[in-house]
Amino acid sequence: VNTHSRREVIKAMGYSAIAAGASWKAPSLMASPAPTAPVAIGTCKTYNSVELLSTLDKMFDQLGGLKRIVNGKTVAIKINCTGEATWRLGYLPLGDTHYTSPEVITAAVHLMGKAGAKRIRIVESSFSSVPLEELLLQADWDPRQIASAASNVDFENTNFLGKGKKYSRLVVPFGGYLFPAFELNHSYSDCDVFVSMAKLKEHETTGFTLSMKNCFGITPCSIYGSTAGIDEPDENPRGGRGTLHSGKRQPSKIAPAELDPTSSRQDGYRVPRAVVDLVAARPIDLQIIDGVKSMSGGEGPWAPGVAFVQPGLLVAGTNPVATDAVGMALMGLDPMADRGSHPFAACDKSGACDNMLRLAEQAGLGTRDLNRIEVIGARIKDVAVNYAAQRTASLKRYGPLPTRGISPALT
Amino acid sequence: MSGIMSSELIPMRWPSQWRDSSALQHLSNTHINCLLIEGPDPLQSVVEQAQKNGIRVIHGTSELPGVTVVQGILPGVRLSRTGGRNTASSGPTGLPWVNSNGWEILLMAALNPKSTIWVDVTPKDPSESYQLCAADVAAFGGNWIISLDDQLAAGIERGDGASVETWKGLIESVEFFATHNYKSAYSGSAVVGVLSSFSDDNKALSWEVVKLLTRTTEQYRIIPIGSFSADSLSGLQAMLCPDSDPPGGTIRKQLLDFVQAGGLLITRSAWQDMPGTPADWEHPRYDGRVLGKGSIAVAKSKDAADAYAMANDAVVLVSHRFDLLRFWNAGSVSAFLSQASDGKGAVVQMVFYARELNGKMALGGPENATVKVAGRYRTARLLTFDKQPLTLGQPDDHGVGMLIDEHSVELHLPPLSCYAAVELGV
Repeated sequence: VNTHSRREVIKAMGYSAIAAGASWKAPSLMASPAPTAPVAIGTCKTYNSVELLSTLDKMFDQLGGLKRIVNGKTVAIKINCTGEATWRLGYLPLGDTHYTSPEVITAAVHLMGKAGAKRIRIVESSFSSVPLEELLLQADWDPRQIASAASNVDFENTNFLGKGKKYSRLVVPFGGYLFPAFELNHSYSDCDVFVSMAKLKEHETTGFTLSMKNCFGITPCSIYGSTAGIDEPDENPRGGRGTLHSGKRQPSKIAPAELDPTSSRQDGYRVPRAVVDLVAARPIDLQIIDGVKSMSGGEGPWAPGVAFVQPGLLVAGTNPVATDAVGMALMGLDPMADRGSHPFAACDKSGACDNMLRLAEQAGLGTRDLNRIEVIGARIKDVAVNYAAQRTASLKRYGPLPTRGISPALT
Repeated sequence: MSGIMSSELIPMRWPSQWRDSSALQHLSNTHINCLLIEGPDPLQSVVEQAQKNGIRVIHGTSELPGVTVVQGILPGVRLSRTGGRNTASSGPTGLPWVNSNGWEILLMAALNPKSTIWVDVTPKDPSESYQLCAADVAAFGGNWIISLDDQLAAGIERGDGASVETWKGLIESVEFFATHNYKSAYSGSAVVGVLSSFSDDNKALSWEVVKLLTRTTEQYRIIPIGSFSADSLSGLQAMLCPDSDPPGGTIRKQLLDFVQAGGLLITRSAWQDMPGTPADWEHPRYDGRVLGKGSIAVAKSKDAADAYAMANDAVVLVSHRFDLLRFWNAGSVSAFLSQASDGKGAVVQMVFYARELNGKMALGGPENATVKVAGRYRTARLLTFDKQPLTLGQPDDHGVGMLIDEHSVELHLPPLSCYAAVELGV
């Protein structure tokens, strides 16, 4: 696939869909097997730059080389900085628990620069309109370290219009489960190559969060937030993405409304579908999952009973469904599981959740069947970590690590 | 006792329920050395016995030259009308709204540099945190006129267990601040200066900006225009000027010199015709200009300024890169960093109003806060009202302690109540 032309196609699809008044058809099961792609697993015990660079370099080679993907291209890397930067799990740095580690970001940026990337933009939608660099500083990172890892590196908070002049409409090619198209920050259409750099984590609502769920955060709260403007975006957004989570309201009217406002309002129904719609609208060209250090039991320190874990793993791939299927397996989870079974049986308030990998597979985005995925590097059975067991061990060793000092009894 | 300077007085309002001089026993072995006895009935026996005990008695604060009294508010997180203790109302950020007297103490001290600042506020019932009242005032260099609600005063007289415990806790905090007078040995550190007349048409906005800056934990210096000097800019990264009209003459020149040397100047829209060239950065509410090594941010809108946006924009325009204090898991906190006059130490005072997660509130301090302090420190000693000082060393795995970096220290704090201080040494 010529990624440059894909960029143009994505944009063109948006505009033509607007003109055509994009009609929705319910996605049907694939007639042919969902696509697959190799997934590389690397073992990496620390965030030491030498170990990270050599491990990632080898993994990218195993996938056919980074040059093939980024040479001469504009790259956008969506990192995972969920929640406020002032929340820690205990005293641990955010990059050791629920944020993509700054060292992994720096190493990947460096390798992409070496592979000929023309421009690299680090993107994330932090819960406000402050520059992304300021969020990173609050997290105690130095954005200059990332910016100096290659030439032409910049940052953008994509939670609002940002540095763009207008939003980009990206259409869901298969019609969408919830939304036919999205209005996103320009960074997601301006890039030739889109990278999702996730953390190897479980998730309270969706069971797990990897490269696909990371893209939930590409939606601007100026349009999809609980406080978004009704008609026009609110360019000073606050709070979370209630429009996508609970669906109590529709996005700002400049964006396409939901396909079926009478559908379930349950988080466990909506969030996986919104994620698949987003990943279809803005395909992920490269997935990198940081599992060197992480947390188990949830996606952030606010989830009850979470614990620090050290899987010592990195994962990379070029098909997000296949990559996330391997990621699930590395956490001791079954990618073929679905609503009603672990980890989709008891998702927070909504009770149960659909497996976004099944929905993505049905939409033709990729396979979740490990038998159809070529795994390169370490073998899953040799390096997989039982997150539940690690959580138990971690809690035994360190005790519960409450955040912001709140006692469970007070919640 | 009349020889005691106003700045050394630790005042208490004599409770109207305490009708007998025997109640003075409650003050024995405390540092309370000034009684404010109000009302038409002078309680002569109390006055005489107090004076015999070496306590200064006053009948109104106006009797004391050199004391400026602030009518304070009860510190803490504002709870919602419908909610219980775990429900709080939110401010514009979605974070709970904190009531504090700290900003007004700093402001009054800047406007009345030779005065001691007393804060007059009386809790409504014994459930209020008396220690928090004391800490919220003292951490910012003020003196609380210790005032007991009627129920607590009566309970102490009766010897009621809970009331006596509350009183002991209050006295603990009074003793702490009497024996740790950071105000005299340390001076405040700051990243941003706020320059204003703080009066007339400028009063409402400038006062509100100072109040809201306090909530960000940004360390700031209040600079009344009337007392501006070149020293006012010492050590600052930025100057925030909320007044609508720009100053002229010498002050304007010194501000521009500050920018030339690398500082940031943040002004209202009326500050047109600023020198320099357009900056390459964009901001939704400010036009940027580059001048020498520094820059100027001029508000785009001519409309009345939004104090909340101004305070928070200033913090971002200055950049968190220059944070002197950075907190994690601290809940609702106010913090005041000051440096020893000999440059060999510092103290961080922290007042915790509530712990919270996702909007759910609980009174009290955090269980595992972290604070990062800029500076080359090598020792840290944690002090609280009720525990022995704790020297923070290299932390165990995931534990309490101090991580030393080249230009900062990161302090992993144990469970705390409403106040803690960390004394840092080089």
